[in-house]
Amino acid sequence: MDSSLTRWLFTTNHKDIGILYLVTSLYFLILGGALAILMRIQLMLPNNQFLSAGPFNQAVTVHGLIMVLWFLSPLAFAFANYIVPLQIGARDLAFPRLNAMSYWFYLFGGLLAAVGFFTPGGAIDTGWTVYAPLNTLNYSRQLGVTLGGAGLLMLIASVTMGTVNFLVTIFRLRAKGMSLFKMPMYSWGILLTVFMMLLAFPSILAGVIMLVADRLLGTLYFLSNEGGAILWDHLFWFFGHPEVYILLMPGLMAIAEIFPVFARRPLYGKRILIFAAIIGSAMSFIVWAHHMFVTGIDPGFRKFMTITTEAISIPFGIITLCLILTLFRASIRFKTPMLFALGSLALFIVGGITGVFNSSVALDYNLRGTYWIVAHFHYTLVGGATGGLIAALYYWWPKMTGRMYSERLGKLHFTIYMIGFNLLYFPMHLLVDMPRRVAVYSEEGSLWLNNYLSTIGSFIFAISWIIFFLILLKSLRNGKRAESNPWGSWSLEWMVPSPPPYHNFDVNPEVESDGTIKVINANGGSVESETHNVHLSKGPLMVALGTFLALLGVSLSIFILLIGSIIFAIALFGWAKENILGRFVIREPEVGERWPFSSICNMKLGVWFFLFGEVVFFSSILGGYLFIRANSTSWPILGEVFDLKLASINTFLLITSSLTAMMALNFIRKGEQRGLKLGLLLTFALGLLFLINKGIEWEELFKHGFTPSSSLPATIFYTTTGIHGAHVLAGLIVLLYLLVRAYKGGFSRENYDSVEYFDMYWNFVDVVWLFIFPLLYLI
Amino acid sequence: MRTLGYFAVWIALILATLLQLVIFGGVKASNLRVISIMVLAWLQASLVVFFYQNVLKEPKGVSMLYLASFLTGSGLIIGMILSITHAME
Ligand code: HEM
Ligand SMILES: [Cu+2]
Repeated sequence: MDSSLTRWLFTTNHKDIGILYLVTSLYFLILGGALAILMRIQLMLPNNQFLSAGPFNQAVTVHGLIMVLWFLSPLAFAFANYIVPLQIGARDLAFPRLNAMSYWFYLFGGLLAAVGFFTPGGAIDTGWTVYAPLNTLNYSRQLGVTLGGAGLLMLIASVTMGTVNFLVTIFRLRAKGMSLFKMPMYSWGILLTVFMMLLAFPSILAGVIMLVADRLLGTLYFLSNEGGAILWDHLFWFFGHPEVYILLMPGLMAIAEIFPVFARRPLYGKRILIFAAIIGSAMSFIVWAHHMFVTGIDPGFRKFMTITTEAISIPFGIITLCLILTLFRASIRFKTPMLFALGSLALFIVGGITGVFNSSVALDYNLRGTYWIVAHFHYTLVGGATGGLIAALYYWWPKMTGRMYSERLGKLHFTIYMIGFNLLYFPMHLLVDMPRRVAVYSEEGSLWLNNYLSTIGSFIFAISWIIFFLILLKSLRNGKRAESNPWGSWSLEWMVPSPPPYHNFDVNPEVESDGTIKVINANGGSVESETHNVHLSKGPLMVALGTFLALLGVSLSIFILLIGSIIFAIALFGWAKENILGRFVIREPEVGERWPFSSICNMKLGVWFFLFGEVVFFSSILGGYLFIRANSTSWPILGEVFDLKLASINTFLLITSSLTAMMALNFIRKGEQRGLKLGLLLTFALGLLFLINKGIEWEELFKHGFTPSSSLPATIFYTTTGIHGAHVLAGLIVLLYLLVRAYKGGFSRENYDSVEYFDMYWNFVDVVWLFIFPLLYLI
Repeated sequence: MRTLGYFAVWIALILATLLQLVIFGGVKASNLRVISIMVLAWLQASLVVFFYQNVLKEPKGVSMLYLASFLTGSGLIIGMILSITHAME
């Protein structure tokens, strides 16, 4: 495989993309780290003048966003991309082009947010939680906040594509005999992570869309008292708490993967550990309001969330116990990966304990918004999650690069890392009187010493990372060649050469019932010739670039928007052409472990997963509406104020379009081409009429002074029907593609899958409308 | 048979919407009105999910996860409303 620019720009191979994620996430680590050092220098001394409040706020905010969303999670996905397919015995992810697109959306999203630094007023400066109403135009006029929102939108798109892809891959591409419980722990970690992502990110997506609408279209979600701070808190933390487990899970499971290898014994209570992790992940969705204890929410509700928060320590306690028991009486080999795994478990325990303190409402009144909290989440997120992934990096580095690194330097890195980390973050526990996110503090009190120590710690910590990068560079230049299994591990990725060949396995690997893995080709079986499968595609990069420019244009200038949209359209067209010409065919392997999704194909399962995310997304949008309405003293019933005719007609149109879509499917199942075309055409026409009718309705309402910024009901009306309308529009674009294919004779009795996927989506959009119509117009 | 079934569902959906409109125009008691209109909406949604999207014909995991995502979304909505109940009294 060549190492040209084309390869890296257009690659769709999971290992290449894993390396792209690795390099990019480490780049963002350097960026976020530099910002942190700036902050620590400012806080080193009382009344310091190094950074003024404005830049300090930007540094705090961008540091937080980068570290959480552009460094830590993507680092986990570097290994998810590279290692998980190998571990489960797959040759690639289920949707390679989609995977490439995830990467490019991630990268361009980061760039979009960073453009803010070069605009007047600077980058986003609201804190990583982007609280309302600080995030509105009233308090933050600068473009940087809008650009930050746009960057987040691209990141969320990236995450959505990634989750669908990994869910389908892990469920459907496992090797024969690789039952779910036989999967290695890192793959389990990623499976749980993407499940949480699928259901958590939609609520922040809804929040960011509302925010961007407030800022660009003048809607009133976060400016109003009825929505405002608490609405944002809900949408943010319903995502935000699962997010901290999303960040933690891969690192924690990497530890679970590494401990047994270096302790030379199986993981203690693997099944129990897995069940605890599943329960912990599920529970992460019912604790979010512990971030809202001091906002004046209902005391009964607060009590419920205190209890769930305290209860969630139980599964994580069980996981921790299983990990510790794995080491009990073992003869441990203290290699670099193991040292980091041990260290990060220890630091995680400290962070978990301070978390239990936070879950007490009474204590939280004093702890909230102080450096105690900063200490808590750095022990968990840096100590636990990042440390676990650094262990993972040292563990899998030989596999990914084919090179060993210096053990001696690795141990040096670990030592300095631990000293720096604890000196940096431990004193923060003692700064319970110091508010976070404030640029200066006075000389009174004992704030000075702990801040000073912490800054010294940050320098030491930074040095440890410089050593880290030197180790990696040195290894790449003249590291010893790595064997296929340098640590004596047991999982599948270690049974292929380091680095693995382009297609991972020459024969289909198999797992026997006792756990033995076979990758040998016993009786000359089907060694598949895979050369024709080397795939490059321009689509992913181009779609991401188009989206980037379009969003930049929405914030900056129509001209850029236009260019972006053109690139986007051309890229989609090219993608569709690749499909129609069959240039990018992915064969599904015939044998494999697919429980519980054996009787459904990859693509269909992917569409289902996507729709599950959409369910939570529309729940969040409608939740925002119901919340605001419950908070309002009066609410006009739109059907009583305005003419219901147009909206009712739209309901009939959409219902009927579901029928015609089903008929199209029914016809092609019987091989009737004309019926198929007629059905698709009718569906298209009805959908188009729906949109035209919607436009007429909007225009009427505008004439009556009912504009997005005129009132809360108007805000909600336009946003909700607008988002739904965008879904209809997206459906029409897909329909156009189906129509072209149908007229080219691209469907037959045996081959009509895309029509079926479209119907699933279209019916979903119909269902959403069946709720929007009564909720918005009739009650 | 299939075709007939699809048409039957379509007719039920249309009738339910018509009924919603009739209730909207006719029933004065606001609680009864809201409840019956929303019950009809749920009915319609179930018809589409069960007979057009055919979830029950999919592997069990699909309907379970459909339900899970639905519970997740409802959990958020319920939590949001519960969090302000004391303010509404
Ligand atoms: C498992 C790993 C954990 C991670 C990654 C984590 C991460 C975080 C983060 C990032 C914040 C601060 C958010 C902000 O205000 O910017 C936070 C706050 C909090 N954490 Fe954790 N946490 C973890 C474990 C726990 C545990 C086990 C508990 C309770 C048993 C807990 C309870 C809390 C509470 C109550 C807060 C809110 C404190 C406040 O802002 O007043 N956390 N955590
Ligand atoms: Cu939390």
